Amino acid sequence: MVEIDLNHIYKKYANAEEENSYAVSDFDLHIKNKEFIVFVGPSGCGKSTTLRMIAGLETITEGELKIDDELMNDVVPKDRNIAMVFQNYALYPHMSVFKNMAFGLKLRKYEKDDIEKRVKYAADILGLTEYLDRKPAALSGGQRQRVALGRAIVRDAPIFLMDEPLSNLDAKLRVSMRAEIARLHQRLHTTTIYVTHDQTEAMTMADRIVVMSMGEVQQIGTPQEVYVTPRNKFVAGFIGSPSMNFIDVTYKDGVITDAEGLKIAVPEGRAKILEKQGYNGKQMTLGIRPEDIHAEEAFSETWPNSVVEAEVVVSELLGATSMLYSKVDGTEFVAIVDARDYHKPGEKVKLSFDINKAHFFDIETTLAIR
Amino acid sequence: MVIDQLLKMYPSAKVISVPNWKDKTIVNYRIVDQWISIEKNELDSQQIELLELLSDHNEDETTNHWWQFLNLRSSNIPLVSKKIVKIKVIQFHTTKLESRDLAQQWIRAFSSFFNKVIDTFWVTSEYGILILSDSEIALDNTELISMIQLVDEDFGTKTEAYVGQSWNLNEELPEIFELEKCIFEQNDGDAVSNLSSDVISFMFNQKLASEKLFIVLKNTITSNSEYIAMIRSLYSNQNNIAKTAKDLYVHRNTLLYRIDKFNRETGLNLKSMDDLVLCHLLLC
Ligand SMILES: Nc1ncnc2c1ncn2[C@@H]1O[C@H](COP(=O)(O)OP(=O)(O)O)[C@@H](O)[C@H]1O
Ligand SMILES: [Mg+2]
Repeated sequence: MVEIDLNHIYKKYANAEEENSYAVSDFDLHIKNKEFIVFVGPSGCGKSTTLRMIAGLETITEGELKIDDELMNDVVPKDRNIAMVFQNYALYPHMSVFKNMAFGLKLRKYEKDDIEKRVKYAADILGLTEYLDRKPAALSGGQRQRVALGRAIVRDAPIFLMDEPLSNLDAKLRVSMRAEIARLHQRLHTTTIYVTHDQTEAMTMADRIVVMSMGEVQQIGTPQEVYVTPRNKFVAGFIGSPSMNFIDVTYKDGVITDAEGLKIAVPEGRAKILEKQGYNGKQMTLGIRPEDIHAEEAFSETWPNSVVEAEVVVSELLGATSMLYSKVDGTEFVAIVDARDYHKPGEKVKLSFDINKAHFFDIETTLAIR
Repeated sequence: MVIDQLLKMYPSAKVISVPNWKDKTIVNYRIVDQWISIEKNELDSQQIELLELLSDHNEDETTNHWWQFLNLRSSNIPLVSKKIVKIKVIQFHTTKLESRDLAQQWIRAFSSFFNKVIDTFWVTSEYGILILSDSEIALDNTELISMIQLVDEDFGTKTEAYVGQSWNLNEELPEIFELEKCIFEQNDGDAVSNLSSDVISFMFNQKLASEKLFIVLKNTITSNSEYIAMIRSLYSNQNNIAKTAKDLYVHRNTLLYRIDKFNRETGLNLKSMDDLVLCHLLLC
């Protein structure tokens, strides 16, 4: 059993420029036993800093870190019982795979038999048994990364922290290691915090995602929650690939228009909410995912008022689907449509916007209008 | 001044430029950046202890011949194979280890990453030196950081290292090392630093940072955290707009707009390398 509480955590580095420039501010999260949490956000948003504060590698400027209700702020890293896997991991070049995994335990004065049992167990899980006598130089990149994971597993720590552990592997290996880490979690149930800038990794691995930007938590939720109900424009744009389309529009009496000539009807339910929130006659940002723009006739017949006449600028055929980079006058957007609805650049196409799935954001606060 | 007092107290005391370590009838101390020699027979053991305390070098410092040479305590250049003309000094600072044995294991683990180790030793219980032959394969910072992470994880330490340049092994080396020591002392928390990462900010902070002009300029630049991130990212992406926009997760046009706005507010044009470097310096 292990639970982690981050209570209003702030981090200010000693060499920070301004009085109030925090690398991380007001980070508040309760992590449940066995959870797989992913911190995701662009580079520099404070993911590693937060992880390093949990590991004890950075001091906490303000706020409380509790593990199983015990205050950890001033506990040194080696007493926190946390195993960490880094993006760039080294191995001791003159030690065998076995010794690389065993070394930390030996220093912590574990019994020889116990060490052997743990290393063999980890090697078994990771498929490294036949490589135990090899030196790191004789391993592939993926095998070396497994040894790094093995070093964490042998510790049998209740918490794993991983900082972009796959970002130095090539694309194919990354996908298979991603599955491997997910399997590892299903087998060991170790409470894990995983840091990545890759939203696909976050969406496929996490129980819950923490989306961060500029040192602040933007939203915490399951992959489905952050995808379907993003709290603000940042989350909406960051989660999902290709990214959500954003168009600045004005809403008036059931219709949205933009300066470039786009004109789409808003279904009654959505219109009511916009009006109730005081947006009638106001500007806002429309957000619509490429997969919520359709080319099928069945759809445009059902929702004739949501159809626009667009021109295809660039198109890509991707097997079952195709991407249409299109525009209506000056307004550009991307649609993912069925491969059968592929169109060549320059061709006209009728596209319907599924406004029931669309999002509206306040221009000033960028918060979703609900 | 301490030196004047000592000269009065001990008739044989002399301020000297280079200590003569071979003369066993005298003792040498470095006090407030000057060398002073005193005849041994003027001192009892208690006085020697006090002088040790007074002197700049720490009392539990090593007697390693490299350390003696690098710090001008001995003019003997340590003997190495004739093939070695240049050497590189890595300084490291880490958390105190529980036992001497553990400290020896630590230094062995750390030096196992390098192929051409000439010597390695602890100077104090938290500060040590690795002398490498110049023919050592160059390691980049991320590799070094990951090695330090590994060792720190196994030993529960927190380490910072400074990687010196390659220098000819001759009598000029101690003076060069003196500056490398100073630069490393000013490091504020980076796990790995070196001359190119630290020297510009080092010089700037020594000479110019306290000038009114730079303070005012710095305040303008740092008034907006968006600007700080923009300058940092532009600099590390060699002023490449596309890469910076991607890095900051903004649209190219948004970035260009911010660069323009910055120009209007500060008069500095970040598209010019000169202005960008100046802004980067102010953020050091
Ligand atoms: N050791 C440090 N000293 C000063 N500032 C730092 C240090 N490490 C990171 N930062 C700053 O803190 C912010 C967050 O960095 P980081 O946590 O590494 O982001 P991420 O892991 O999300 O890319 C950045 O602005 C970065 O420049
Ligand atoms: Mg990071």
